[in-house]
Amino acid sequence: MSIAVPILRARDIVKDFPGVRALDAVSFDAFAGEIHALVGENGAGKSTLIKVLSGVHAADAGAVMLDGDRIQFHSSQDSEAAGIAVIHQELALVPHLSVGENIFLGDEPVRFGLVDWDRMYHDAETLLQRLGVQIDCRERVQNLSVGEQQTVEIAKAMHKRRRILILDEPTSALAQDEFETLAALLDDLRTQGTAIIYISHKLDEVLRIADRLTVLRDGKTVDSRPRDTWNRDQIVRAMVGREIEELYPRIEHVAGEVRFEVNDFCVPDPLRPGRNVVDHVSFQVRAGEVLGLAGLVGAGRSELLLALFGYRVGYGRVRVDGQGLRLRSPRDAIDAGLALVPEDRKQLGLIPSFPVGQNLSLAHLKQFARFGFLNDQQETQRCAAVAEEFRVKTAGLDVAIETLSGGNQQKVVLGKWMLVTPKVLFLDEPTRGIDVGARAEIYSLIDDLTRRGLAVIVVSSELPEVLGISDRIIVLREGRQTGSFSREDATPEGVMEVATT
Amino acid sequence: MKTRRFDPRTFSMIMILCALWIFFRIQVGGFYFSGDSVSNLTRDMATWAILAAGMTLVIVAGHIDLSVGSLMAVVTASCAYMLDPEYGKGWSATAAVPLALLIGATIGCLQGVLVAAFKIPAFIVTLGGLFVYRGITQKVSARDPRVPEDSWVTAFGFEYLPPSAGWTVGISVCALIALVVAWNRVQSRRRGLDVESIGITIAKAIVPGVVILGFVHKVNASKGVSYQTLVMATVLAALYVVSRHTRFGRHVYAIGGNPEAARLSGINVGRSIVGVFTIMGLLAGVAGVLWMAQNQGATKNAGTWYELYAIAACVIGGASLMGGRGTIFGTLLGALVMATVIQGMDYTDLDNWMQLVVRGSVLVIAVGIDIATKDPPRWMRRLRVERRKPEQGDQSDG
Repeated sequence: MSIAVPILRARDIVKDFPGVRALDAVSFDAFAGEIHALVGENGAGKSTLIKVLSGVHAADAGAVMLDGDRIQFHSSQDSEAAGIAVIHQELALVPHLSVGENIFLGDEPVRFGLVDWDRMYHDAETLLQRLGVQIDCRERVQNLSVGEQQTVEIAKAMHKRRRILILDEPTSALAQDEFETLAALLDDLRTQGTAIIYISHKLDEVLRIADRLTVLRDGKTVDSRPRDTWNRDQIVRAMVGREIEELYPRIEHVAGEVRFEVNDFCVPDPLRPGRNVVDHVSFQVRAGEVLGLAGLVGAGRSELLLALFGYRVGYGRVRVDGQGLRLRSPRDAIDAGLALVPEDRKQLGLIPSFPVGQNLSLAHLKQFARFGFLNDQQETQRCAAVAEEFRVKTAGLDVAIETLSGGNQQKVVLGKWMLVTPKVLFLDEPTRGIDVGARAEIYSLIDDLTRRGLAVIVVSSELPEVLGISDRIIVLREGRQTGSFSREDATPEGVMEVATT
Repeated sequence: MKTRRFDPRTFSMIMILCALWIFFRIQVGGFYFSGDSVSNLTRDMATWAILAAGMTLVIVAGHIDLSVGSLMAVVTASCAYMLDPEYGKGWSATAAVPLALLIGATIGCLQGVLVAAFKIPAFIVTLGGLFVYRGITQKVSARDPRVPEDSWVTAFGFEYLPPSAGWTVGISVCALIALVVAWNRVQSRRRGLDVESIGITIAKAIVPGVVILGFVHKVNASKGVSYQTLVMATVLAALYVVSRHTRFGRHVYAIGGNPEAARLSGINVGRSIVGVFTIMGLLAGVAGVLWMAQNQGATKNAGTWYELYAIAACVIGGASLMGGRGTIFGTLLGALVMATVIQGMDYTDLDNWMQLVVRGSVLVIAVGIDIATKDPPRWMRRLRVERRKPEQGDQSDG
């Protein structure tokens, strides 16, 4: 491919978040007429890099250069003005406006102060034709398929004469044939001289369309070479190749009886009727055992946990200690001895307006109630005990939950289920957004609970974490169970192999 | 759970209230703090303060009820219709009043079901209700049904507790408060919890007592504690306990704070919402019966705009329309602010049109002050920052 001048060039970018260094001296070039693929595990720093390149985050050190000049973006508007378009997983179109209106949103052609509809639709049609796609530009965007919507976003970027196109996981919601359309479209844009940055988990796709491949791991560039010099195995190794840190307590658990059993469990996809996000999954967990659920984002792991907890709809047989469950609501699950620490603390885990103590007691208020009246002192006493046991660092139980650090908030979300010791504990991304010190504490809490005889199921997108704390691992890919490993034969490469397509 | 530390907001509300009282005392003169004046203040606000108490729960749960004024009117009309011997049924109050309360609670419950089970926004359900119930009211009260003067229910419009009974009730309430405060302290100590200093405990036991007894003393100089005031105080106390000290109350706050997290914690969100609207309906019934007693009958315009007074009282008292925040005590303060402004303007003979302008302005200004101190918008914050360090620009990256 033609190697011209790099349009966009990032040099030694450093970006720190509280407790973590998300990017550590990362360099990255985008050339006109080239598709540059960016791959890496979840949390490797891809999204952060994109946010720095598009002006959402300011880099703490390093430089971003456009056409050789050093620039400073203060907002995403700045980067848009410089010709960079980012197309996110969640598309940013207005669903009840037409295709044409969306493409011209913000600079509608005007005649005598009124929108010139004829010209707008004419221009939109020409543009879509030039891109070689057939979409009626008077159709409302909400009636289009996800792939078509994506095309509209690209058309919008082209209309605004963007020279650099960043696609963040563009195919996660696309069917195979839709990928072909997208690939052809990107190919066209490349020959027209657009620089394209393509982020994806799907290695086969990346290998097919990219001209150059950069692998990120733990916020560092591992390798950056032309496509021809890579093969699949090399990419996988570059993505995961690292020692598992000694963060994880390596104590053998003694597994007991089967505690939790799931047979043929399916979770329907609310957006695509007839399809399942979790498809006929079966597994068992013993008392005192940690089962890891590995897989990529979007593999259906969180959906599985939420359905097993009665929060969303799912079908299949679920047993706790041999007893069949009917899961109509989270209450049923809680009464049966299930507990769930959700992935998104803010969205599902905490009541932001409640102080620490009330957040702890929320799921088990019945304990403190007589005829519906709460016994404040009993509640305070019990919550204080749990807060201490789970090492929540707080100035008191009546302190606003928002003032706690992420790690301590997470301990509250974990601790709230321990007012009554559960039998089965689901942990969805238990260390997301938590600094290293608090992480180690969470791991040792999980270990304690396991040794008390709980059956624990952990979902984590970080391979070392899953490998580090699980006794057994099952792997999901697109809702299906594609692999199962014992602790001894689980290797990062092996798990990644069955998790990706 | 332990009460939060003293809220600066509550303090500022009390300050605003005192400022208003001083202002009107200067404007109106010596009559303003007389027993009659204080008695009238707490009597006239009773109906819509009761609505405001229920509205607090609705708003805390993250919803709104625009229908309460009309719903109250329906209860007023149907109760009067059942009592009226000439145009209506001529039933006794012992049958009619419970039935009227039941009508209120049932309609409230139905609204709750529409919100919780059918997912129709409360704003829409109750906006529809506002028209429907007003229409029904016009039909039922077409002949302006009257309450017979010998019915016991008229006492709630015109009777007062005799001074001795007023003192008895006042002192019993004070004793109860002191007892509860002391009991809590003993329990906390027994369980080895942190106990606040003895001074604070004594203040907690005595301050409400002083206010209550002071009030009783003041109104006893006139006719005594009116039945309306007594009903209002009972309702407020009951809702205070429900919101603060029951499982149901805690659930309502949790749902308003984050409905999804509440559901994941095993709370039956739908059932709680239906409960909240049922209580609201029941209280609209109570307010309706009071209104009827006060006016000895029903008219088709009963309770016009009361929903807005109720919402205003809650919001001035610190309830957030986003849900999750608000207290019954705050609503009481908010209602007192509204009532003070309304009464004060009556005394100063302000024109009717001007009174409306002032009522509306008070609402907006009170909430504006609150937001400016608690969560100022960006441009305000920037003004403040720039005044402190003039040369430094806005460095945040949004």
